[in-house]
Amino acid sequence: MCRWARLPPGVCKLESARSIISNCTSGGCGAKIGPGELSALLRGLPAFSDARLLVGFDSSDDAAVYQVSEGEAVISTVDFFSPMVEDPLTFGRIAAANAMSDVWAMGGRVLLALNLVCFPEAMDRSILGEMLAGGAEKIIEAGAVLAGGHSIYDKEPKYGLAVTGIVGTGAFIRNDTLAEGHKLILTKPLGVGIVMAASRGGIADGAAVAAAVSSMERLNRAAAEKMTSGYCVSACTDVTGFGLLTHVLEMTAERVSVRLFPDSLPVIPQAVRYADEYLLTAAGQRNRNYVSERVDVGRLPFATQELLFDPQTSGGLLIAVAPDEAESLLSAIRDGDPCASIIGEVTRRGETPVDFL
Amino acid sequence: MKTIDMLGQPCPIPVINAKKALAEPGADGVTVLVDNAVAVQNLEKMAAGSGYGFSWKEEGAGRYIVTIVRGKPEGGATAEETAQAPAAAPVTGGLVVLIGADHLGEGSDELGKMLIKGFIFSFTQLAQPPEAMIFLNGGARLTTSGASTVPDLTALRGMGVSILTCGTCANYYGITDSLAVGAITDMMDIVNRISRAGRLISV
Repeated sequence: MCRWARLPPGVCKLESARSIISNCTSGGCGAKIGPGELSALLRGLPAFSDARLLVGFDSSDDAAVYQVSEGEAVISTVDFFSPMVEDPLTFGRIAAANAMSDVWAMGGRVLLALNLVCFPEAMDRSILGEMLAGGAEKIIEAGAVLAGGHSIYDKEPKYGLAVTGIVGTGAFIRNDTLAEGHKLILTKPLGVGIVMAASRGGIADGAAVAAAVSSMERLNRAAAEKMTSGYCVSACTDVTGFGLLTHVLEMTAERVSVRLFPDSLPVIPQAVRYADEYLLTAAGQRNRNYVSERVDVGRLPFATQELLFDPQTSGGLLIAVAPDEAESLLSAIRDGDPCASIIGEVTRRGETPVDFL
Repeated sequence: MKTIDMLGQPCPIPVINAKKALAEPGADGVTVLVDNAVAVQNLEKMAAGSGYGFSWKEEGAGRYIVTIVRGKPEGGATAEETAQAPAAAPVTGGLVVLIGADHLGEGSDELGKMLIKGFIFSFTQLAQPPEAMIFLNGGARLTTSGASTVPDLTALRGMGVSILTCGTCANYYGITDSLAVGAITDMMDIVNRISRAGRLISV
């Protein structure tokens, strides 16, 4: 949905008795509150201080990292959203894959997950059962355990997980520590937001939707395990509803610059055409509004611009790796994520935080 | 022009339906109601990319009225579009200033006459001057010889601003022969110009 606030009372309705996609909230990560708005709100909260909190929300990282012993830290993260697909089993898989991704983006291993559920009182309970089954399937695939949860009634369904992971205190990977010269690998194709928007409008082709769903369902576990298998990785994040360019900008941390290779971006092919037909999300435009003051995308083709802003639900990992190891890591990742590609490189801090080859 | 109510509809549904409405045979444009500014921006990208005229206004909280007109902004409609819809004037024109008195504001007329001189002078300082300045009723006195505003209006005329005085008004005051700057016009032309204006200032 273009709107995520100021919802007038009474307009919220489900499109049909069986439909889990509501007309009130955009599904998936596209429903995230805009990045500019969010950081302004967070600045208003008191600053917490604990020497064992190795990564907190002050650094806009993917998950919190809290040291529990000399050598180990827990990773804690939570994610939930409303459906972006009609099939509840598929939605459950996507929501769980998305929620656990933050642990992998930090270089960790998922230990346990708790279900977070909102569900309409009047809706068929079997739909809820399928959502939870989809989530459980992915928790098993992650090698983790489902340990409980919490559920409430709400106007529309929402589902996600609170996830606990573990990582060595010297082994977790932040997102704002890019090393100059490192290459950037993106493990999943861009365009899932645009394809699902086209699907919502009833004009996406089946192959495009299948590619988007398969990408959203796929765990970032395999790519993360390869990344942490001895490669020299300086930073990593996972691409979310904020879109690729917002994440790249966040990773530069006003310390280095990034040169992106627009021709090497992995994309779902139909998304280019849909972007040129203006089948665009509200979240994508919010991302454009947030980034466009700091990054000039003006000389890129319109569709490329939109793909850089496109909100990704359960997006891929964005990994910065030493240049001499990039091809090797890329080919290892391509085993499970065939679209993975080297999409840019870290450069000395220049006039603009991000430019384009 | 067809109006479509897209209140409560998530992106990209407003864009999809606006495109459908614009594709209907003979459609000269579409008015779209949406409930948030981001949807306005997404409609604007579609209009700009398609070479359509675009304008919008906010009508209370959470209610935006977007107007998309086939044909280029600045009146550069293609031959095909002109043939289809000759009456469809783009609404993306420049600034038009409508001046209905020889003084500015209510209160002291003496102060009001000083203020209107300063008001007109200030337009000569704008980076983007108005498209037209139109003088009605007592405002007609400002374009006739002897008025202190004539030098600034002459300067504006030199910057390409159309200076237009209502003929009926000048006749009424018997000053038609002493028009010092610009041209005489009629109410039909005035209404055409203000209906096409991108923005209108009326004092």
